[in-house]
Amino acid sequence: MSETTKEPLVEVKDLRVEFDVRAGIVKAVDGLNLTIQRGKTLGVIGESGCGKSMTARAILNMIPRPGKITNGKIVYHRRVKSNGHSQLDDVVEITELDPDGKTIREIRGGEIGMIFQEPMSSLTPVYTAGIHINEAVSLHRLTPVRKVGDQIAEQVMAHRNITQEEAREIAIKMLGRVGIPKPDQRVDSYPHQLSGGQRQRVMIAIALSCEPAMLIADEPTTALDVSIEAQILDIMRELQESVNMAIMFITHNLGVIASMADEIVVMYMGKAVEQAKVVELFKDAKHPYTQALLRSIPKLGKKNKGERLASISGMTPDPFNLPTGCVFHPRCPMFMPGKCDTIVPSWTKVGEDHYAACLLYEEV
Amino acid sequence: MTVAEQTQPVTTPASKQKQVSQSYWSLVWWKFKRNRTAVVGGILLIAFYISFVAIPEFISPYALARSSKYVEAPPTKIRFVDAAGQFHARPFVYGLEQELDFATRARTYVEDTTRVYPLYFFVRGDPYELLGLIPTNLHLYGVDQQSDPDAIVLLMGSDALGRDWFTRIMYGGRLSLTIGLIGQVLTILFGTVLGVMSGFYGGAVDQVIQRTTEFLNAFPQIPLFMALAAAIPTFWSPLAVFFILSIILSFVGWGGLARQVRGLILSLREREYVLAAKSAGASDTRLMFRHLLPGTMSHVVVIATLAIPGMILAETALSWLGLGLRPPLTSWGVLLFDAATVRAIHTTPWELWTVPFILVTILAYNMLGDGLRDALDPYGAR
Amino acid sequence: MAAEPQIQPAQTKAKDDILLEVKGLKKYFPIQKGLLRKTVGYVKAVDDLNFYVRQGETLGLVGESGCGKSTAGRSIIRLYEPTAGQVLFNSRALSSNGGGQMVNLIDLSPDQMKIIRREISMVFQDPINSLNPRMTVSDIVAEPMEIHGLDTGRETEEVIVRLLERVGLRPDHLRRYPHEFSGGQRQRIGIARALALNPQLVICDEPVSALDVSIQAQTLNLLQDLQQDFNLSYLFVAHDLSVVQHISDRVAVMYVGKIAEMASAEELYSHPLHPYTEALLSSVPVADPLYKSERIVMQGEVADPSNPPSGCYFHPRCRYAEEICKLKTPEFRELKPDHFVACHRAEELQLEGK
Repeated sequence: MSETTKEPLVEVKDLRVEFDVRAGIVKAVDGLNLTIQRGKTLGVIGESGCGKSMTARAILNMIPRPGKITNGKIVYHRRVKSNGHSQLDDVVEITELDPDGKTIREIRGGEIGMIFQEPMSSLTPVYTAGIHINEAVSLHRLTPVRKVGDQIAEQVMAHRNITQEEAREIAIKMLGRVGIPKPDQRVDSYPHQLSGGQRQRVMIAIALSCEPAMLIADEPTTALDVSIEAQILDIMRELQESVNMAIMFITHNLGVIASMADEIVVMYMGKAVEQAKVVELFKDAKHPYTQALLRSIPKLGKKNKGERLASISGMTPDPFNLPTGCVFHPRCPMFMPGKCDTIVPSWTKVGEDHYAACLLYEEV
Repeated sequence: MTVAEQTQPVTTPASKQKQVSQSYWSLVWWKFKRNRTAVVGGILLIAFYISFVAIPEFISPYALARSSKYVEAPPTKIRFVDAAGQFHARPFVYGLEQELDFATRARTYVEDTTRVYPLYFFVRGDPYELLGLIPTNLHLYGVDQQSDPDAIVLLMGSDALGRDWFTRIMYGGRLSLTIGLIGQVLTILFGTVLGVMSGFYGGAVDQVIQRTTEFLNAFPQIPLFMALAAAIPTFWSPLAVFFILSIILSFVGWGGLARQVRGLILSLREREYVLAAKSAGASDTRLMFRHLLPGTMSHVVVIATLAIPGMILAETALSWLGLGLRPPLTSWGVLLFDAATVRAIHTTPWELWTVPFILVTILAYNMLGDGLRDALDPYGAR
Repeated sequence: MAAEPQIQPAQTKAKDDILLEVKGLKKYFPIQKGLLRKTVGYVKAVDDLNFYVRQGETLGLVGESGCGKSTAGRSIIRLYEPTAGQVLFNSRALSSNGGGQMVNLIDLSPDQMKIIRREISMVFQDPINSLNPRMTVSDIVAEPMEIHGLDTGRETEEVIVRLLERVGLRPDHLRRYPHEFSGGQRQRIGIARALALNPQLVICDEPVSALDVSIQAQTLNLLQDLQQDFNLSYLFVAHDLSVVQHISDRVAVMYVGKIAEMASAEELYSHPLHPYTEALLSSVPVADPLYKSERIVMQGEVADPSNPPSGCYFHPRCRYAEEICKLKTPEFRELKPDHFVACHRAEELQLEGK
């Protein structure tokens, strides 16, 4: 967590993503600002429906219909590698790109990788066995039959000009790096022959095989057991250090985020409510929502019998009928009548590298 | 985070809560209404069932058995302008004169422009009992027969006995449309009950039911129909033939439905709400008919709707082959049987009017069925 | 199972406060292959399970996915017919004198079992799948009463309204359908249904794992409040160690169909005796960025219950494994008072808790 080098990789500026559905318009992301620094991990936490996954998809310009980016910019500072030195190449505005165009396809997978929650459905299922990997690679355009190694090799080949032998070698090397035992044999297995944890490792291997500048991890360990989760998180940390990759780590699990992130953004109903360095956020959260979230998780360790959890009262609001003013005010323990229900809080600096959107810290 | 999740209503504070609770079927109805094709299909079918099944006596100008001296007459021309070129607001028909060519023995009809019969709505004619209850002699349209018994209007011509073909189509629809419906009701009854049992109990029960359906499905359908239909004794009353035929039609259909229901039950059986009811002590019957069966009803309705046309066609086909319903019963299949000779097509082509009625019915069922299929999954907004 | 009208008294003299005791419970699912569906093996989902629940307490049953904890919960109330073993339950409804009497649920006839189902109810994991989408809230909550012939029209309605209010729902929710509620609310409906017959024991099968953090806290609090108000006992099945510690008085850790360790929550979390418990505890992510965990990496994956390893099922992943662990199945024994463990080396090992 060195403070010295700070170079923005992806900047999200006033992003709005809206879904026009029959009952009205849902603001999935509503005026979000965030910056992912090169080589750092940005944690995004929030409950289901808060817009964290939509933000990730917006960065890859992959908003599902009927969703639309209606406002804002996503700026990607692209670098090209030459002679072992990487230099700033150009600035790409992802929101301006054709979602099916060449540039965004180069970026997706090649420069920004993504892993998902459910590793089974993220890998192509398999019908036959025992085809040698090279044959399969040449066949994969005709049939959906793919082995694990093929999926990695294909990823590599789609972005670089590499021979099949090289691709296979990379595949084996990557599988080894993500901790899959006997990678030279496993490269020929099919997804169903792997366990959930191994599949997620393969996903990571695929995402990392092109050495992306950034990895978007959307709840990567939610479907896994704690012991496997611990292994996966270790691997992600190790790999990040060795390739200097940025990670956008999306989760609802505060325990996981504490051990992974350098900086954290807390989201609620499509808006960022707080952003801070990880230690600062856990030690000195400013926004009442963050404070409540931190208090509401049961913690391992000594406890008093019958102790109650501090919970957030009420439920997340109807996305078609958002509360006026601060969207959190109906559930907020610090609710200030006349203020919170009328004024929309703005993004205020509350400490060094620490921001919150709350009227407690605003002069109004 | 999916859109579907977001579109689901989340409870808002009580002050704003003005939303009416919607049951599953009301959501289905809401979605169905938005599908124009399906609504058109539904309205057509309702209109058909009302006019053909409920009140064909009223719609048609004559009684079914009434024959006239106008044998194999072509459709009567309905006119607004008379021979003198004068326009009349009320449509009328001319009287018919039959001429027989003794050389070819072909009948031709010429209009006698001196006899003018205006067409009226709600005319008095052959007596009947509306809906089998109310004795009346009112018909939707016709010419005044009481003052001149020679007056006649044949919208779609007449047959070899001088019966109004339009009237016959109306009455024929009654049998053809109900036989499909009755057959399908029986199919649903057999299919769902056996399917639910098969899926719920598994094991030996499942084996027996599944092997039976396979056995039935293995028969080629049309020959099976023919064999069964041919086995109906000729001396049975027409009504008995009608019922036995609908049973025969459903006999082959239930197997497929039972299989689909069984598949659905197998997936529903492991739902936690079924376990919850079981853990509360619910009996097998309760689990099957309260928790499992309602979950399959939407699929059953769609399958059934899409299968009724098959039944109607099967009846038509059997009757056309002379193996199904027989005169004096009138069904669309019987009418087609009448019209199916080369001679009939040559001399009385209007008897093919039956075909468009069958086509439109089948089409309407398919439109309705497709709409239902889309509407029956109202939660799947993806 | 032959109908046995006579209720068998339990062999052991029941300790006064024991509500449920599971002895040697086994549930094997046959693996069938081929055209003739020949049984080629068994998935030993639950394999010789022993634990007990005291009156008014919460026993947490914790383990990784596929360890058989849900199957165990379901086998106890015979949603799955157990393959072997005893489930002793202190029933009030089946006793002659109105007090409690220990009965073996496995021996009961269907009619007797139905009576037991008033005393043991279940809360399920999936808030979407556990409520029948075609039934209104009032139908759902009333169903247990209806099944047991306790539905008395107007009065039932009042009972339901009180139950719903107790779990934090409004009376005007009665006529609504499950899809109109959020996940947390649906789970409350499921809890209300479980309480409809005034049970003694509630088996909670992962009741909060599908819920958001803030809703999870609300639900856990609700369960605790209800426990006090209705004097309930819980068998709380979950995979989240922090949640289990929070709500449980005692905790049993399951690994591949067997209990590895069982003790009071505090004892188990601070002084684990089984290496699996130790490793599991060290894997839990801690919501403190400054916390430096000394994570014990468990090699490999959870053993396959259809083909478990020899001896102690945990030995291939255990860093303390010795020769005996591969050869002999460890006995589940009470090493300290009320602290049970199934490990050959439990006495000698010094393990780290949290």
